[in-house]
Amino acid sequence: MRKMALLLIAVVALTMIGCQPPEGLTGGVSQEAFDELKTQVETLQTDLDNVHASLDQLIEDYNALKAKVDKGSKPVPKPPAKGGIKPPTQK
Amino acid sequence: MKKLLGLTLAFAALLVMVGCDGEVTLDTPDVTYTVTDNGATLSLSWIEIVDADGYYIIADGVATDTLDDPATVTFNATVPAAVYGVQAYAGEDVSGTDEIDCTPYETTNLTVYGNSDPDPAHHSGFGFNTNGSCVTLAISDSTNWLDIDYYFNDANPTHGPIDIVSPGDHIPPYNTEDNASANSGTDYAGLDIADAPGSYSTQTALADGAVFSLFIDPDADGWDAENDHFGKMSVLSITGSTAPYTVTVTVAYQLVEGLRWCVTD
Repeated sequence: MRKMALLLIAVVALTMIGCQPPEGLTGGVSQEAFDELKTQVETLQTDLDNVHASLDQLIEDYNALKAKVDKGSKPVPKPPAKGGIKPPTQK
Repeated sequence: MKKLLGLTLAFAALLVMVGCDGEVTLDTPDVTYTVTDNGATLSLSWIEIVDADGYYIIADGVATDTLDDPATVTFNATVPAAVYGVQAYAGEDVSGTDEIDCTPYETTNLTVYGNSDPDPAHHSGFGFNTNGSCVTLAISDSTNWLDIDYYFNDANPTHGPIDIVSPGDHIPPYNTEDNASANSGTDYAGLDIADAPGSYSTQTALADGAVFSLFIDPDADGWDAENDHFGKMSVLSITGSTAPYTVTVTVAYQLVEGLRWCVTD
Protein backbone atom coordinates (compact mmCIF):
# COMPACT_ATOMS: atom_id res chain seq x y z
CA MET A 1 0.00 0.00 0.00
CA ARG A 2 2.76 2.38 0.95
CA LYS A 3 4.55 1.50 -2.27
CA MET A 4 1.49 2.36 -4.23
CA ALA A 5 1.23 5.77 -2.51
CA LEU A 6 4.88 6.55 -3.15
CA LEU A 7 4.55 5.54 -6.75
CA LEU A 8 1.51 7.79 -7.16
CA ILE A 9 3.34 10.75 -5.59
CA ALA A 10 6.28 10.13 -7.88
CA VAL A 11 4.03 10.11 -10.94
CA VAL A 12 2.34 13.36 -9.85
CA ALA A 13 5.70 15.00 -9.21
CA LEU A 14 7.05 13.90 -12.57
CA THR A 15 3.92 15.12 -14.30
CA MET A 16 4.22 18.56 -12.67
CA ILE A 17 7.82 18.81 -13.59
CA GLY A 18 7.05 17.72 -17.14
CA CYS A 19 4.34 20.40 -17.54
CA GLN A 20 6.65 23.27 -16.63
CA PRO A 21 7.54 25.28 -19.77
CA PRO A 22 11.16 25.54 -20.67
CA GLU A 23 12.98 28.59 -19.43
CA GLY A 24 12.24 31.71 -21.55
CA LEU A 25 8.85 30.42 -22.58
CA THR A 26 5.45 31.65 -21.32
CA GLY A 27 2.69 29.14 -21.76
CA GLY A 28 4.68 27.47 -24.44
CA VAL A 29 5.12 30.70 -26.44
CA SER A 30 8.26 32.76 -26.53
CA GLN A 31 8.12 36.20 -24.91
CA GLU A 32 8.89 37.81 -28.25
CA ALA A 33 6.03 36.03 -29.96
CA PHE A 34 3.80 36.82 -27.03
CA ASP A 35 4.61 40.55 -27.22
CA GLU A 36 3.99 40.55 -30.95
CA LEU A 37 0.66 38.85 -30.43
CA LYS A 38 -0.19 41.32 -27.73
CA THR A 39 0.58 44.20 -30.07
CA GLN A 40 -1.62 42.66 -32.75
CA VAL A 41 -4.47 42.23 -30.28
CA GLU A 42 -4.12 45.83 -29.18
CA THR A 43 -4.15 46.95 -32.81
CA LEU A 44 -7.25 44.91 -33.44
CA GLN A 45 -8.85 46.47 -30.37
CA THR A 46 -8.09 49.93 -31.71
CA ASP A 47 -9.48 49.00 -35.14
CA LEU A 48 -12.62 47.66 -33.52
CA ASP A 49 -13.07 50.89 -31.57
CA ASN A 50 -12.71 52.81 -34.82
CA VAL A 51 -15.32 50.60 -36.51
CA HIS A 52 -17.67 51.20 -33.60
CA ALA A 53 -17.19 54.93 -33.88
CA SER A 54 -17.82 54.80 -37.66
CA LEU A 55 -20.96 52.76 -37.16
CA ASP A 56 -22.23 55.21 -34.56
CA GLN A 57 -21.65 58.10 -36.97
CA LEU A 58 -23.34 56.16 -39.79
CA ILE A 59 -26.38 55.47 -37.62
CA GLU A 60 -26.53 59.10 -36.60
CA ASP A 61 -26.37 60.25 -40.25
CA TYR A 62 -28.99 57.70 -41.25
CA ASN A 63 -31.36 58.83 -38.53
CA ALA A 64 -30.93 62.46 -39.53
CA LEU A 65 -31.63 61.63 -43.17
CA LYS A 66 -34.58 59.46 -42.24
CA ALA A 67 -36.06 62.25 -40.15
CA LYS A 68 -35.72 64.56 -43.16
CA VAL A 69 -37.34 62.08 -45.51
CA ASP A 70 -40.08 61.31 -43.00
CA LYS A 71 -41.11 64.94 -43.14
CA GLY A 72 -42.33 63.99 -46.60
CA SER A 73 -43.91 66.94 -48.41
CA LYS A 74 -43.12 69.37 -45.67
CA PRO A 75 -41.42 72.13 -47.66
CA VAL A 76 -37.91 73.24 -47.17
CA PRO A 77 -38.16 76.96 -46.53
CA LYS A 78 -37.08 78.99 -49.51
CA PRO A 79 -34.77 81.89 -48.92
CA PRO A 80 -36.49 85.18 -48.24
CA ALA A 81 -37.47 87.18 -51.29
CA LYS A 82 -34.29 88.70 -52.54
CA GLY A 83 -33.85 91.68 -54.71
CA GLY A 84 -35.53 95.00 -54.81
CA ILE A 85 -38.05 96.76 -56.90
CA LYS A 86 -37.82 99.60 -59.37
CA PRO A 87 -40.15 102.57 -59.24
CA PRO A 88 -43.35 101.84 -61.19
CA THR A 89 -43.82 103.03 -64.76
CA GLN A 90 -47.02 104.65 -65.98
CA LYS A 91 -48.15 103.72 -69.45
CA MET B 1 -107.03 80.96 -132.50
CA LYS B 2 -107.00 84.21 -130.53
CA LYS B 3 -107.72 82.24 -127.41
CA LEU B 4 -104.75 79.95 -128.05
CA LEU B 5 -102.46 82.93 -128.68
CA GLY B 6 -103.59 84.55 -125.42
CA LEU B 7 -102.93 81.39 -123.45
CA THR B 8 -99.48 81.07 -125.00
CA LEU B 9 -98.56 84.64 -124.10
CA ALA B 10 -99.84 84.22 -120.55
CA PHE B 11 -97.80 81.05 -120.13
CA ALA B 12 -94.69 82.77 -121.47
CA ALA B 13 -95.19 85.68 -119.06
CA LEU B 14 -95.57 83.23 -116.18
CA LEU B 15 -92.33 81.52 -117.15
CA VAL B 16 -90.47 84.85 -117.19
CA MET B 17 -91.80 85.78 -113.75
CA VAL B 18 -90.89 82.41 -112.25
CA GLY B 19 -87.45 82.68 -113.79
CA CYS B 20 -86.90 86.09 -112.20
CA ASP B 21 -87.55 84.69 -108.73
CA GLY B 22 -84.69 82.17 -108.99
CA GLU B 23 -82.51 81.83 -105.85
CA VAL B 24 -79.19 83.71 -105.86
CA THR B 25 -76.17 81.87 -104.49
CA LEU B 26 -73.91 84.26 -102.58
CA ASP B 27 -70.32 83.56 -101.66
CA THR B 28 -69.42 83.92 -97.99
CA PRO B 29 -67.26 87.00 -97.39
CA ASP B 30 -63.67 86.19 -96.47
CA VAL B 31 -63.13 88.60 -93.60
CA THR B 32 -59.74 89.83 -92.46
CA TYR B 33 -59.14 92.26 -89.65
CA THR B 34 -56.75 94.74 -88.17
CA VAL B 35 -56.81 96.20 -84.68
CA THR B 36 -56.74 99.96 -84.47
CA ASP B 37 -57.50 102.84 -82.15
CA ASN B 38 -55.21 101.63 -79.34
CA GLY B 39 -57.02 98.32 -79.30
CA ALA B 40 -60.56 99.69 -79.13
CA THR B 41 -61.56 98.95 -82.72
CA LEU B 42 -61.64 95.80 -84.79
CA SER B 43 -61.46 96.92 -88.43
CA LEU B 44 -63.04 94.30 -90.69
CA SER B 45 -62.58 94.08 -94.44
CA TRP B 46 -63.46 91.67 -97.23
CA ILE B 47 -63.71 91.45 -101.02
CA GLU B 48 -66.97 92.52 -102.66
CA ILE B 49 -69.36 89.64 -103.14
CA VAL B 50 -70.85 89.17 -106.61
CA ASP B 51 -74.65 89.69 -106.78
CA ALA B 52 -74.79 90.95 -103.19
CA ASP B 53 -77.09 93.84 -102.33
CA GLY B 54 -75.13 94.53 -99.17
CA TYR B 55 -73.84 93.01 -95.96
CA TYR B 56 -75.00 92.31 -92.47
CA ILE B 57 -72.63 92.78 -89.55
CA ILE B 58 -73.26 90.07 -86.97
CA ALA B 59 -72.12 90.57 -83.36
CA ASP B 60 -72.56 87.61 -81.03
CA GLY B 61 -75.18 86.14 -83.34
CA VAL B 62 -77.21 89.33 -83.76
CA ALA B 63 -77.27 91.50 -86.89
CA THR B 64 -76.26 94.87 -85.50
CA ASP B 65 -75.53 96.79 -88.69
CA THR B 66 -76.54 96.66 -92.36
CA LEU B 67 -74.32 97.93 -95.16
CA ASP B 68 -76.63 98.44 -98.12
CA ASP B 69 -73.94 99.26 -100.64
CA PRO B 70 -72.26 96.09 -101.96
CA ALA B 71 -69.15 98.12 -102.74
CA THR B 72 -68.72 98.95 -99.05
CA VAL B 73 -66.38 96.23 -97.89
CA THR B 74 -65.01 97.54 -94.59
CA PHE B 75 -66.52 97.97 -91.18
CA ASN B 76 -65.05 99.35 -88.00
CA ALA B 77 -66.42 97.39 -85.06
CA THR B 78 -66.24 99.56 -81.98
CA VAL B 79 -68.75 97.76 -79.79
CA PRO B 80 -66.97 94.87 -78.06
CA ALA B 81 -68.33 91.41 -78.73
CA ALA B 82 -67.03 87.89 -78.35
CA VAL B 83 -67.60 87.03 -82.01
CA TYR B 84 -67.95 89.37 -85.00
CA GLY B 85 -69.12 88.18 -88.41
CA VAL B 86 -70.02 89.43 -91.87
CA GLN B 87 -72.78 88.04 -94.08
CA ALA B 88 -73.68 89.07 -97.64
CA TYR B 89 -77.32 89.42 -98.63
CA ALA B 90 -79.31 89.77 -101.83
CA GLY B 91 -83.01 90.32 -101.33
CA GLU B 92 -84.11 87.60 -98.97
CA ASP B 93 -81.06 85.48 -99.61
CA VAL B 94 -78.03 85.48 -97.34
CA SER B 95 -74.60 83.97 -97.56
CA GLY B 96 -72.74 82.12 -94.91
CA THR B 97 -71.11 84.13 -92.12
CA ASP B 98 -67.37 84.50 -91.76
CA GLU B 99 -66.53 85.11 -88.12
CA ILE B 100 -63.66 86.58 -86.13
CA ASP B 101 -63.51 84.98 -82.70
CA CYS B 102 -62.55 87.49 -80.02
CA THR B 103 -63.55 85.38 -77.05
CA PRO B 104 -60.95 85.74 -74.30
CA TYR B 105 -59.56 82.61 -72.70
CA GLU B 106 -60.64 82.41 -69.09
CA THR B 107 -58.74 80.73 -66.25
CA THR B 108 -60.78 80.56 -63.09
CA ASN B 109 -59.85 80.27 -59.43
CA LEU B 110 -56.11 80.59 -59.78
CA THR B 111 -54.28 80.77 -56.44
CA VAL B 112 -51.21 82.98 -56.31
CA TYR B 113 -49.13 83.74 -53.22
CA GLY B 114 -47.30 86.86 -52.16
CA ASN B 115 -43.57 86.65 -52.77
CA SER B 116 -42.80 86.84 -49.04
CA ASP B 117 -44.23 83.34 -48.68
CA PRO B 118 -41.29 81.06 -47.80
CA ASP B 119 -42.85 77.93 -49.27
CA PRO B 120 -41.34 77.24 -52.72
CA ALA B 121 -44.49 75.35 -53.69
CA HIS B 122 -46.49 78.56 -53.21
CA HIS B 123 -46.00 80.28 -56.52
CA SER B 124 -45.92 84.05 -56.66
CA GLY B 125 -45.69 84.51 -60.42
CA PHE B 126 -48.07 83.72 -63.23
CA GLY B 127 -48.00 83.78 -66.99
CA PHE B 128 -50.19 83.21 -70.02
CA ASN B 129 -49.58 80.40 -72.48
CA THR B 130 -49.97 80.86 -76.22
CA ASN B 131 -53.46 79.36 -76.02
CA GLY B 132 -54.39 81.99 -73.43
CA SER B 133 -54.47 79.74 -70.40
CA CYS B 134 -52.84 81.06 -67.27
CA VAL B 135 -50.45 79.12 -65.03
CA THR B 136 -48.70 79.98 -61.79
CA LEU B 137 -44.90 79.98 -61.73
CA ALA B 138 -42.33 79.76 -58.95
CA ILE B 139 -40.22 82.90 -58.98
CA SER B 140 -37.53 81.06 -57.03
CA ASP B 141 -36.87 78.94 -60.12
CA SER B 142 -34.94 81.03 -62.62
CA THR B 143 -35.99 78.74 -65.48
CA ASN B 144 -39.50 80.23 -65.08
CA TRP B 145 -38.46 83.81 -65.30
CA LEU B 146 -38.96 84.30 -69.05
CA ASP B 147 -42.54 83.02 -68.73
CA ILE B 148 -43.59 85.29 -65.89
CA ASP B 149 -46.08 87.97 -66.95
CA TYR B 150 -46.84 89.27 -63.45
CA TYR B 151 -45.98 88.49 -59.85
CA PHE B 152 -47.59 89.39 -56.56
CA ASN B 153 -45.33 91.39 -54.30
CA ASP B 154 -45.95 91.53 -50.57
CA ALA B 155 -42.26 91.49 -49.66
CA ASN B 156 -41.58 95.11 -50.58
CA PRO B 157 -44.81 96.50 -52.05
CA THR B 158 -44.98 100.14 -53.02
CA HIS B 159 -48.72 100.68 -53.34
CA GLY B 160 -50.64 98.41 -50.99
CA PRO B 161 -50.12 95.46 -48.70
CA ILE B 162 -49.75 93.39 -51.84
CA ASP B 163 -49.19 94.62 -55.39
CA ILE B 164 -49.44 93.11 -58.86
CA VAL B 165 -46.08 93.88 -60.44
CA SER B 166 -44.46 93.68 -63.85
CA PRO B 167 -41.60 91.15 -64.00
CA GLY B 168 -39.39 93.87 -65.43
CA ASP B 169 -39.76 95.94 -62.26
CA HIS B 170 -38.02 93.40 -60.08
CA ILE B 171 -34.37 93.96 -59.24
CA PRO B 172 -32.84 92.00 -60.85
CA PRO B 173 -35.55 91.80 -63.55
CA TYR B 174 -37.18 88.44 -64.14
CA ASN B 175 -37.42 89.37 -67.83
CA THR B 176 -37.63 92.48 -69.99
CA GLU B 177 -41.42 92.66 -70.30
CA ASP B 178 -43.15 95.85 -69.30
CA ASN B 179 -46.54 94.55 -68.26
CA ALA B 180 -48.99 96.81 -66.55
CA SER B 181 -52.31 96.79 -64.78
CA ALA B 182 -55.06 99.20 -63.84
CA ASN B 183 -57.82 99.05 -61.27
CA SER B 184 -61.05 98.97 -63.33
CA GLY B 185 -63.67 98.81 -60.61
CA THR B 186 -65.48 95.76 -59.33
CA ASP B 187 -67.67 94.55 -62.24
CA TYR B 188 -65.79 91.70 -63.89
CA ALA B 189 -68.58 90.61 -66.26
CA GLY B 190 -69.36 94.20 -67.13
CA LEU B 191 -65.79 95.03 -68.12
CA ASP B 192 -66.11 94.42 -71.86
CA ILE B 193 -63.04 96.41 -72.79
CA ALA B 194 -59.82 96.82 -70.83
CA ASP B 195 -58.71 100.31 -69.93
CA ALA B 196 -57.03 102.37 -72.63
CA PRO B 197 -53.25 102.78 -72.62
CA GLY B 198 -52.34 105.79 -70.53
CA SER B 199 -54.07 104.65 -67.37
CA TYR B 200 -51.80 101.73 -66.50
CA SER B 201 -48.99 101.25 -64.03
CA THR B 202 -46.43 98.48 -63.76
CA GLN B 203 -47.29 98.24 -60.04
CA THR B 204 -50.84 98.33 -58.73
CA ALA B 205 -52.24 97.59 -55.29
CA LEU B 206 -54.47 94.53 -55.21
CA ALA B 207 -57.80 94.74 -53.44
CA ASP B 208 -60.27 92.07 -52.50
CA GLY B 209 -63.19 92.10 -54.97
CA ALA B 210 -61.50 94.49 -57.38
CA VAL B 211 -61.21 93.99 -61.13
CA PHE B 212 -58.07 94.89 -63.02
CA SER B 213 -57.29 95.54 -66.65
CA LEU B 214 -54.12 93.81 -67.80
CA PHE B 215 -51.80 95.18 -70.49
CA ILE B 216 -49.07 92.76 -71.53
CA ASP B 217 -46.32 94.49 -73.47
CA PRO B 218 -43.46 92.06 -74.09
CA ASP B 219 -41.46 94.54 -76.15
CA ALA B 220 -41.90 97.32 -73.59
CA ASP B 221 -42.64 99.69 -76.45
CA GLY B 222 -46.18 100.83 -75.74
CA TRP B 223 -49.30 99.68 -77.51
CA ASP B 224 -49.05 97.78 -80.79
CA ALA B 225 -51.04 95.06 -82.48
CA GLU B 226 -48.09 92.77 -83.06
CA ASN B 227 -47.55 91.03 -79.77
CA ASP B 228 -49.33 93.05 -77.11
CA HIS B 229 -52.22 91.43 -75.32
CA PHE B 230 -54.92 92.61 -72.98
CA GLY B 231 -57.04 90.92 -70.41
CA LYS B 232 -58.84 91.37 -67.16
CA MET B 233 -58.45 89.90 -63.69
CA SER B 234 -60.93 89.59 -60.88
CA VAL B 235 -59.58 89.26 -57.32
CA LEU B 236 -61.88 86.73 -55.73
CA SER B 237 -60.20 86.76 -52.33
CA ILE B 238 -57.15 87.88 -50.41
CA THR B 239 -56.51 85.86 -47.28
CA GLY B 240 -54.10 86.61 -44.47
CA SER B 241 -54.07 89.44 -41.99
CA THR B 242 -50.42 90.13 -42.71
CA ALA B 243 -47.96 89.02 -45.35
CA PRO B 244 -47.62 86.46 -46.77
CA TYR B 245 -51.02 86.80 -48.41
CA THR B 246 -52.86 84.24 -50.52
CA VAL B 247 -54.78 85.59 -53.49
CA THR B 248 -57.35 83.83 -55.63
CA VAL B 249 -58.10 85.31 -59.03
CA THR B 250 -59.95 84.66 -62.25
CA VAL B 251 -58.29 85.97 -65.39
CA ALA B 252 -59.36 86.40 -69.00
CA TYR B 253 -56.82 86.80 -71.80
CA GLN B 254 -57.59 88.25 -75.23
CA LEU B 255 -55.82 86.21 -77.91
CA VAL B 256 -56.22 88.82 -80.66
CA GLU B 257 -53.05 90.89 -80.53
CA GLY B 258 -53.59 94.45 -79.41
CA LEU B 259 -57.35 94.13 -78.96
CA ARG B 260 -58.64 95.36 -75.62
CA TRP B 261 -62.01 93.63 -75.77
CA CYS B 262 -62.70 91.10 -73.06
CA VAL B 263 -66.33 90.03 -73.31
CA THR B 264 -66.83 87.00 -71.11
CA ASP B 265 -70.58 86.62 -70.83
